[in-house]
Amino acid sequence: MPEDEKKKSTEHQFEEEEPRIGVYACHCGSNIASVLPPAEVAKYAESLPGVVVANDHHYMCSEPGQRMIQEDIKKHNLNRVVVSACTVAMHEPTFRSCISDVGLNPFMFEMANIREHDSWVHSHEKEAALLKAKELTAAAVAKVSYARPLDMFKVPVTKRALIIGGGIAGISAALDLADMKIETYLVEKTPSIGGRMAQLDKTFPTMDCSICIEAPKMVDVGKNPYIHLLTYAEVRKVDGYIGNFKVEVEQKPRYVDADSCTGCGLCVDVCPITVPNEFEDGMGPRKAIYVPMAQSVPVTHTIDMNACIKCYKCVEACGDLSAIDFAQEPEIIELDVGAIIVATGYDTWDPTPLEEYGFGEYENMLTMMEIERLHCAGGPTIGEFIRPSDGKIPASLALIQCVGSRDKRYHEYCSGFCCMYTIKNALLLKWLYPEMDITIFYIDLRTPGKTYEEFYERAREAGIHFIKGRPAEVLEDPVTKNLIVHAENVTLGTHVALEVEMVGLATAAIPSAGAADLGRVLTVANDGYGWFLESHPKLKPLDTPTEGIYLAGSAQGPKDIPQCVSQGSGAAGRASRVLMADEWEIDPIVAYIWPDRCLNAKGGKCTICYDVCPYGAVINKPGSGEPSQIIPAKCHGCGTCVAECPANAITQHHFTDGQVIAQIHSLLADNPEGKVLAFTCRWCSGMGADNAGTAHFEYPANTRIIMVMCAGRVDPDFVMEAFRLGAGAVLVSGCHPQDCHYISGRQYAGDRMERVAKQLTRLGISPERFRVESVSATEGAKWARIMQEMSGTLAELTIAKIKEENAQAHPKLARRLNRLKQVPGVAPVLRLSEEMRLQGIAGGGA
Amino acid sequence: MKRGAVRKEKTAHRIVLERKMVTHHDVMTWNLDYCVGCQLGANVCPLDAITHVDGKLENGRMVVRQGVDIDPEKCVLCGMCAVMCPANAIEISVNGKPTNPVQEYETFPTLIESNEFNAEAFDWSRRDFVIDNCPTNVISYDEAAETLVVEDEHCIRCRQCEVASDGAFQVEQPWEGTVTLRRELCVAGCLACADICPTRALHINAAGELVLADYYCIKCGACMQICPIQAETEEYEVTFESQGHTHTRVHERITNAAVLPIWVERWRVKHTPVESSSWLDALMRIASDKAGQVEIDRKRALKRRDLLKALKGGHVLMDNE
Repeated sequence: MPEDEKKKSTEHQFEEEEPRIGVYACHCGSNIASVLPPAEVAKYAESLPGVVVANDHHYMCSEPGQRMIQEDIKKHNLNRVVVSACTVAMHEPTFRSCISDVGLNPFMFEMANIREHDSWVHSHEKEAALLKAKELTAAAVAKVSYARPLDMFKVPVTKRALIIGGGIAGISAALDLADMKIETYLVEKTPSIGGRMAQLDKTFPTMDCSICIEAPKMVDVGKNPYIHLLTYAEVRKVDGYIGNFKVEVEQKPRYVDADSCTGCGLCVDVCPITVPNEFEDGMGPRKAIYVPMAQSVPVTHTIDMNACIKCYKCVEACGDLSAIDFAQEPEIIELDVGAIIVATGYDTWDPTPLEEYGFGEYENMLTMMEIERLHCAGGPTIGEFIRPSDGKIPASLALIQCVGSRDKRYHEYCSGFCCMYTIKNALLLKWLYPEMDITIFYIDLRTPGKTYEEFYERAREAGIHFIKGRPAEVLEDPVTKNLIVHAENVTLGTHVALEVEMVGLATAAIPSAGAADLGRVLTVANDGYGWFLESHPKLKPLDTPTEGIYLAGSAQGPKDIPQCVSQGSGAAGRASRVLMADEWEIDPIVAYIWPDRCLNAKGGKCTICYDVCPYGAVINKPGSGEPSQIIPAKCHGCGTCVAECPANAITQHHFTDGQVIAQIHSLLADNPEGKVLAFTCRWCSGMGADNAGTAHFEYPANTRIIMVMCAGRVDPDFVMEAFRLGAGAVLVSGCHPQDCHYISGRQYAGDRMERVAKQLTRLGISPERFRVESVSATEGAKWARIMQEMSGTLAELTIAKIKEENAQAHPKLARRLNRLKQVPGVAPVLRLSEEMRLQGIAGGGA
Repeated sequence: MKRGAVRKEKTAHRIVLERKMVTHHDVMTWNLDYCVGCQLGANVCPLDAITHVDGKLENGRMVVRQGVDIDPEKCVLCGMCAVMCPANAIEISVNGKPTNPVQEYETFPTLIESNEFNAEAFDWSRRDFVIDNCPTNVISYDEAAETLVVEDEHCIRCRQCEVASDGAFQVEQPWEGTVTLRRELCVAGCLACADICPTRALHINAAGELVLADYYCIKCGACMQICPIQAETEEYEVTFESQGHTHTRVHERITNAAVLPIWVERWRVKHTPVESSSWLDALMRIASDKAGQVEIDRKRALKRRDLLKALKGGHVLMDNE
């Protein structure tokens, strides 16, 4: 990276040529033009400093619209472009590639959103909407004036993949990558791959034997030369970034040498120690030396040291093969990979806390996975479905759905596949034991899937009883060990007390044990339930917010087998985009530390930037005399460190302090007391504001938005500067903290803004004039409400009162903000803004 | 609770560990009325599942019996402690049948011990005396067969009957070793070891003094555990050969034997042949180093037995009231 570093360090000193800006206002058919005349916006823009040409068009994004921009760039020798149209989420990429096609750097471009943030939400305030459009355009012009050309970072790619989790999703991903001749490491924490699918008897709705269809794939993985299988191993540490991950895997000692062990099993026969087999969910035993199942891949046996009594009988039995090695120790294996796929699957919830069902107390109360193992021919009873209490085949069986899921006390979500596997188990048992009386208690039956509903019909026709109602209690007859299920039959409105010989509970699927720890190792967020969080639920379901790390299968949420297989293949596809490339481009909107300003360069012991970075992108050596450094490829560009830096030694490309302050000055040049200034992140809150526009939730037009990448970027000085300039009210809005696209940026912003709020109150600013909010991408209504409330605050307080407060706070704010001039790139902005004010070319040009 | 996990139930009289899978069901019962808290089980346990529970002494007498506790999360019901238990306090059953896994898989041997009754050599006038004299009440008169019978699984081989019957009972003890009482080292007035001793080898005579009749001692070592003057130990490394491998383990040994009022040293046990390093390890944990070496060198072991037999007549036997 040193070269990139060097390039960036010279970049900020580069003195660009005089801005020659082209401004283009879009009609968007009548979407904008019906509320405000874009031609007037263009005409106004022409008066702004640096603007060479301004124009309007029916559809700027159309081919003729784009051609107009390209021709103007050539004709007027433009070096910057502003388009006043719709949201950045929609057309920023369009116009970036439009200008880069004619040789302009794509980052010399800004958009002003006069549709979602203006015409769609202020249709009843046409005058004010026009003023807002002019001011938003002016702010974009101000920002783009200080734009600098940026190049995408190019990083080399290690053409190897790591897959964490050897269930069916991980297996599918591994086989697909191997087909592309990509070397793949498959890490599995248990002694064998196979995962949950290997535990199942049959699969719905085709009733294929689960292990029979999975075992060949497991064997393929075992012998594929492109796949390195690391079973009984766990990922301990992940460093690096897309294309260049450094991974530490702990190979737990099996005490059996994988190369020598033939899997003959003689050692198992002589081992005196019996413990419950996890693979059988404790339904059957295994020895202290074991393989989880007959189809295990690899066949290498493992000694469970928590149970071994070190009698060495296995050593004797192994004889000349000498595969058993009690001297083995944990080993750290270091891997270099270019992409990572997380496929850690799910666990089933232990329903013991649900006391009303008595699991763990009543012998004949089983979980559905136990039922599965009990009728599976490979299970502990070789397929004979017997009651644990007396070993007899039960004459009646009740299956209860939604145990611990769709339950606010435990897990609110629907586990998705339980309806289908409950029906499957019921149907299977009906086929095996036609006399068995089977009843399913359900809340709702959810069968969305190809031929799933038909499968449910089959179960009904087979004579399985369905009762709508969640059982309130199950009691045991202490003599017969039969269970009495008490429920309300919701359909008939009657009480049901059903005595059955055995009960199965369809328990919630929960994130697999260790998912939270793995999330921390990978710096990939887990959602509120602990499932891995995808980058975007609709458009990037297989990506994580960390580039180069992908999700497959139930690690992201409960999924059935076909979904897991498709996700495995999908994640392999996503990963192969990176792994097939020779180098990978990384967004250059990263943070940069000026070495001479960093406190550590002067012998300081500051760790703030390092502490707040959720991606480990900062090289921090406090006390060494060396300045901190940012590894651009690891930086995601949230800007939290920029705002946190006590020495203002950090900046963010494309969102420099100078650029943001230029926007603040531009938007508050005219009538600042009457305005609400909002800083939003580009993700949830920015999208939330867009959503308000799309839904046409009207709110007052005296509101102005400045968008940064993350609320974490909002420097306290931005807020202070806004109040120094006389702003009526200021809002800082980000994602809901748990949804933050930069993991912890919103959290830090919240903590920081709490301090700012206290300072402002001390300065005499009414507390309701400064707010910190969380708005998600779907909360357009909430956005509109906040805007209305804040606008209402201004009216309630009255302009006079606001002016009075501002006048009182101004001297202290001005003194404090003197330091802004020291921040590189800010002084010229302040100078120009002052000149403009004196010349009367202010804001909306009233 | 997960199926197959070990469940523990503890009452004043017993600890029951139960593990229920669908196709495997094992139960281990500790009879705390028999248990003397001797620590043999705790010492052999390869998974450190057993801990000693201290008794309570008042004025030199035991008022609360010492015993053991078991950690159900560590115990795998292997049965080593049951083999070793000198008080026969531990029973194991798998799928309803009494058994012992380590013995079934020839990891642990069966200790060679017996109690044979020769009716013809018995002075029948002493019948009731012999029955009442048994400390564990395992001798009874079989009316039908007109003979005395011993509940073999509960007999602790203390040889009280052997002496009381003047040799009509012949007892073979598994353990050989020494027991030493030095009353001058005792805490004044303390008689606690006599309270815990299961065999009356340690007892209080008519003068109220502590007396040792070492012929009855079964070398369980419960007395050392209850003694207020506790043994101090140090760790040391043990290396031994078994099954073609050299094994190294960390064991403990007593460093203050010279100041202990009561000191039991085990140095040999009679058992069926077995080839297992966990047996050797266990043996070396509970017997002196010599025992391990003896075990490895059978020839030497046999010599020692001959020697012991020669010495057997040399003990002074105490009269029984």
